[in-house]
Amino acid sequence: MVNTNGAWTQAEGRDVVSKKVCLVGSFAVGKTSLVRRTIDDVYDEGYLTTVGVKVDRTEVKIGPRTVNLMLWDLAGEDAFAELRLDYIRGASGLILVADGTRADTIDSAIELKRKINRAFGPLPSVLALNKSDLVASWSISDAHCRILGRSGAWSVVRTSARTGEGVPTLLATLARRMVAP
Amino acid sequence: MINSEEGIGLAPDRELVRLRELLLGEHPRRIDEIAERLDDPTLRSKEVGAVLPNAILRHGPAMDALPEALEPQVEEALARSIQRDPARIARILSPIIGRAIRRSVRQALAGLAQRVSQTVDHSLTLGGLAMRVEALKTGVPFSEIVLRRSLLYRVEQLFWIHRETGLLLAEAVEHDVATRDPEIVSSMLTVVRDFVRDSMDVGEHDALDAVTVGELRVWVEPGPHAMLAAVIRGHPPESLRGRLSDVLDGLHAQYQTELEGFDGELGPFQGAPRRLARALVSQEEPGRKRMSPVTLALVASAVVLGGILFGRRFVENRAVEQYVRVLDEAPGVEVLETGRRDGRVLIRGLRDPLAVDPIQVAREMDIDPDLLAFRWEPIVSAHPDLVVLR
Repeated sequence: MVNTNGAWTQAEGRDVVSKKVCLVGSFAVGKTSLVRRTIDDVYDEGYLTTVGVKVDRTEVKIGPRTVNLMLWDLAGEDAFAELRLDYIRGASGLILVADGTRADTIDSAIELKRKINRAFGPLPSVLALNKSDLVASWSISDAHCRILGRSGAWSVVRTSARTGEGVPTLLATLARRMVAP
Repeated sequence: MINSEEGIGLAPDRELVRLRELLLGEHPRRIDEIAERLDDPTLRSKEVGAVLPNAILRHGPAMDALPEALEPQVEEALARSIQRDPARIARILSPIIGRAIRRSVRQALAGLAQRVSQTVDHSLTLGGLAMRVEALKTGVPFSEIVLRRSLLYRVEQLFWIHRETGLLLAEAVEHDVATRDPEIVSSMLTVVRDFVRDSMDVGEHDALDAVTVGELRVWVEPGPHAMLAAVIRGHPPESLRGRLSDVLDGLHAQYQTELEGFDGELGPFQGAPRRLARALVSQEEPGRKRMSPVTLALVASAVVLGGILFGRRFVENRAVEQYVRVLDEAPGVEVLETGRRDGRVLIRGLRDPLAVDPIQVAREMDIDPDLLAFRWEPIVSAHPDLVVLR
């Protein structure tokens, strides 16, 4: 005897918009730590090394709207492993993370952005210059940062995974770029 | 030559035109306009276009030939469209024919496999024998009875997931099931499916469609724009796939436009959970239905009462045994037989009238004398105590 149970819950729909956001950047720039500042960690970090992706969720309020950000933390690219572009498919926005103390990670972020643009077209993006708590030992100047921000391809936000500085701004900036008419 | 003729005939022509105007009024100009409309193909197609839909909508018997006339053109257009981009037509037709194809092929094969396997498993067991008897009595095939008895399941959660983004469009869940963040679950399920497909070197359209973890199974039904993931506890029959597929097709048909232009807006899908919940189904084990509270109370009372009666009888029996032993050892009494009759203990034996009074002994041992019945054969005992008494 097959029973149909009427019990169900309504997904939280109303004025919510969901967006897939990919976090990319070189190895050890602090992507995962950056995400952890904003979310209730549900899954183990092990997914990153085994599957190459770990998904987390966070919400940002833009005026009356709630933007539900599904953050796909993609395993960092390094000399041994290339970014799997397949995982970017369907993304509405990008968070590119670079380490302010390592200028080469900014070059990598620029290269990653080009690569993703070629495959999927331009996506709303934010460049997180991470480790702002160590700004004294940064290898890039303020002038360089300003030039990076002027390109128009992305907004630049200084962040610190350690202190949490800049993380809410980073998410709000990206959310605004994605839902703006 | 012409010039000279025009030169000569100019004045009379003008007069003729004037005369024609006087005689015929506006008509010549109207005729010219109509001629122009008929001769200019652009103008004509524009005019026909304006009236054609209305003509088709309100067609009478005169337009009966229209479908027949259009048939070759429509077929040709479809054939060309399919040649150019087969995926487009496949997407359009998928909700209609996908259901029928998927259901019939999958169910036929999987159902057969399941029947064979279950039938073999149950053929030689005691339960299997009972099922054979039932099959003979009811006329239902044995394999179906086996299937019905052994498949018990419950669909606990349903996720409707956008394929490309992995975003959760809608969710339905049984009220007593604890869930983790369903949006993350949906995305991670998409990740794992992609990961497995890439790792296993399978075809572009092949993907993970079932995961089993202990008692739980996750079945995934793919669709053109979105997939349906069902978390099931127990052993579902293959026919459940058909039900999931029906619900998914229905959702695609209802939200076709919204799915095609999906950009993360969840508002349009607010009605989806209700449709989704149609697949929150379960199958209970026949004969193991829960008792009603009244039945349960009656059974419990009966058990308690039975326990009390049994306990009392046990204690009573032990006391009577003790009593019989004491009686048997008394001088001048010989118990030959004990038994029960009409709820009383019957004791038969030999007794010297000078020996102890059995009723007195019973009272001393806290046994109700009314429970006892005696049948004594009088004797004269040679026991020294009684000899002295005598």
